[in-house]
Amino acid sequence: MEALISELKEEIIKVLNLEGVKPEDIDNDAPLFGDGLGLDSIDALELIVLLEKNYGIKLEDPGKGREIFGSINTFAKYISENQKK
Amino acid sequence: MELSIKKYGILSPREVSINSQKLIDVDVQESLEKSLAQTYRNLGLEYLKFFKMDNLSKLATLAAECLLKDTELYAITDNDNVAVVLSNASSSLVADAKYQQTINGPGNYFPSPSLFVYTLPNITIGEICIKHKIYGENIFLISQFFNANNLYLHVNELFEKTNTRFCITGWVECNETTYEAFLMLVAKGKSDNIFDIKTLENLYKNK
Repeated sequence: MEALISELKEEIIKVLNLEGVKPEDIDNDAPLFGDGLGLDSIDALELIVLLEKNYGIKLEDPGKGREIFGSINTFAKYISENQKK
Repeated sequence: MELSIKKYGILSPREVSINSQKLIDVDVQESLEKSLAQTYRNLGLEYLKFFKMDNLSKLATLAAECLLKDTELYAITDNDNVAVVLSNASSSLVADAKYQQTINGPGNYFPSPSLFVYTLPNITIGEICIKHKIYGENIFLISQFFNANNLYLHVNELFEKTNTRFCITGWVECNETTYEAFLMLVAKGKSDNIFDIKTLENLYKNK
């Protein structure tokens, strides 16, 4: 799981163009949206694309995004349980 | 109605100036992205959304920042009488091509939402309006070359027929190889530069 978390942080920083953010700046339990990294709705859509492109997971119910993208830990847990690539 | 150019600015990989006076130093960079990022840092901006924009919007945002800084518009939070009229030749073609690459084939079909949002040139106007809380009229015109006549007619019409008090207008061109912004702040009244076709052509030609 540690490797996946580390990879996920790198990917999020790259895909979402988070200028000045380093992987170690992202707390595994901190919320990704709102006060955490301050991501917006376009970022959420980009994370859905990342799920499918990198891990072969098609999010059928976008409403689940709030729970899945809650934090790095919840995101990594969902990937590890549903990964197809 | 007498209109005048209160300020004008140039932003290119070689020059950042206001009213023909150098505003900040720029060094030649190896890519347009690095050049725009350097200008962002040299201007002392703190607006992380900048890094999510396409190059055209980055250019327009930086040029508007230079133009509006130290004006009464900078801190106003209810700019419903500020208009934005921009123009260029390449529209949003660079962003369009990047987005196209994300939908090129059935085996590689991952449309990028963050690229898609920039596949219209008027999004650049939106970025300026979001940053400066501008709610006035706006239009983005496409022409092969800087067209002083078109800009003059549109801006003049806005001042004649709407409650426009200020207008940010000009040229923001960004393609694969270079970028160039020439923005003006137009208002009613007199100044050294009258807002007319001849002055527009001269200021653009002599930039």
